[in-house]
Amino acid sequence: MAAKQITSAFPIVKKPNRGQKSMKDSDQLPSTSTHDQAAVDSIDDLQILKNFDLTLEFGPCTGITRLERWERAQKHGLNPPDEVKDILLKSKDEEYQMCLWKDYEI
Amino acid sequence: MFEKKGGNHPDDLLSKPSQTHKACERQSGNFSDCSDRFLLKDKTFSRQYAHLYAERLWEVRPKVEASARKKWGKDIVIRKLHELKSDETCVVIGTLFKHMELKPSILQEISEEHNLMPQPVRTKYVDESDKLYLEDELQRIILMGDLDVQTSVTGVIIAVYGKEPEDDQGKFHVEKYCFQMLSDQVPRPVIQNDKYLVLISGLEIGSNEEQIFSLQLFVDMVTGMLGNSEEQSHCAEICRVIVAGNSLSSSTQDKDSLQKAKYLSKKTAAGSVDAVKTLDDVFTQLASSVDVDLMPGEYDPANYTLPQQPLHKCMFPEASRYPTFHTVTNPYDFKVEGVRFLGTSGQAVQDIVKYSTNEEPLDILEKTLEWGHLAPTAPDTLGCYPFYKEDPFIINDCPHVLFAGNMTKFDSKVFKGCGGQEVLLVSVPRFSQTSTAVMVNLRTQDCVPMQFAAPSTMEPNR
Repeated sequence: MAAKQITSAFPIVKKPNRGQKSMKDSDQLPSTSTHDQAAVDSIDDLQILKNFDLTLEFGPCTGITRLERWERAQKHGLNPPDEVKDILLKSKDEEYQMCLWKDYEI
Repeated sequence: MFEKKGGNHPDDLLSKPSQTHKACERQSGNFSDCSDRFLLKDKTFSRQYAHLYAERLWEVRPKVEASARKKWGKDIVIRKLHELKSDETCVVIGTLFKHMELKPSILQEISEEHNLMPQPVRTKYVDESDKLYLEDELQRIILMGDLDVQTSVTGVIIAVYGKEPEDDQGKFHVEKYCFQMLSDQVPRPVIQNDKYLVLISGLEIGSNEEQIFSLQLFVDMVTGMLGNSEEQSHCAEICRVIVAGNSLSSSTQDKDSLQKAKYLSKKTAAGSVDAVKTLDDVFTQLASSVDVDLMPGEYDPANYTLPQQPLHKCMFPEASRYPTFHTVTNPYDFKVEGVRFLGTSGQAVQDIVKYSTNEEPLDILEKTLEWGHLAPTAPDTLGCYPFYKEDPFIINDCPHVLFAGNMTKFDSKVFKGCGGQEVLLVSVPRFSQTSTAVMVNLRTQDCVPMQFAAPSTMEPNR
């Protein structure tokens, strides 16, 4: 019983975000192929958007799109970061536009 | 106003019809509607109310800050709750939350496993043990001190001046407090002649207490079918009629048919169908002669949440043919001859009565002006649409007349603001109980009640 490890029943699954540095360290693992670079960029962008969602100063994030929240913060002079808006205007993907908790009914 | 204004006016009531009879022209009023913010553009109910509170705080906070600096000096320190230092006298701005023990709570209702009795419906939910909290975006703190808990309500944006003592952390001791300053009034233009606007509410057709005879008298009076030519010319000075809610009675909202089996209730018509037909009749008579604005109320077939949307014109097929018949939102904001009116059908005032010790409708209207918000208890205890981009109930422009319909009695008062504003507060009584309507004089900004008394001995035997 003592020798049995949980990883024998539940093997470790490596997720793509594991080992990723924080968004401040922008020099990622150098990759020669552009496809990998695009994937890494999008992971970066999603991280920035996730941090935007979690910043409480801009108000509640559930139930409205990130662009709507950005514009609301802009209207009230809360200085939301411009790079967030740039990322949001780049892609119409739901992953980008909706908030972190879009899959939950709240 | 109906007394003879000097002189020898020949009594033409029983005279022969003549070819040269002069017709009375009704006064017209310059009308403009300012209620666009109450019309719902999209109807997504899947949002939380946190957005509404956040929006309210962000929009009102700069105004409260300006008001605090004006009152207590330019160099006061304004702190957010997470920046509070112990024993530092400072100002904190946030939303008031009143914690009430007796407030109906859905969690207590569904706690059947505790075998608790369901909470009784009360008229007032206040209790001695109610506490006030101040909330900003991130934290809340309990307020002690000079603030009257019993007359305050949840949802008001307030600035409190005081400190959090070192030995009593977690509580903020309040010395002084203030709200948003009422904005300056746009001065109303000088009107030459007397012009009147009539406010009526609580017709409550469809109940046993409906006053059809008094209502018919009212309609005849306003359309000029009563009285001699002098009285008719007085009534021609009425330029608009506002019906402030509850035109149908609560008994038309028959909930029993929902419980009965379908085969029993198949042939029965809803109680509201006949009532609406009667209303259509009344409004056809009125609209043929004067502009009528119909606001929905608590018992009318409109949505429950504030702001209530205009009643659909298909319910009034005859009256809708007249361009003078309008269905409008509740609350309603409009301007006639430069006089700005703002009013509700009374739900906000009645909710404040339930959740605080305030009783007088005029006191409550005065408080809503001071607080700067028409319905502060929405969405906490009063149903409200989940806005996220704006809070339309914030009073940004100071009105000249503030009215609330469906009150128990007629009353009026002029409220003098600290910036020289003068607002006429009117409590419009329920017509089914009091047979009274209110006439507001647009020139002098005072109002008189119009009471129709029908002595019961003269009514035909029922």
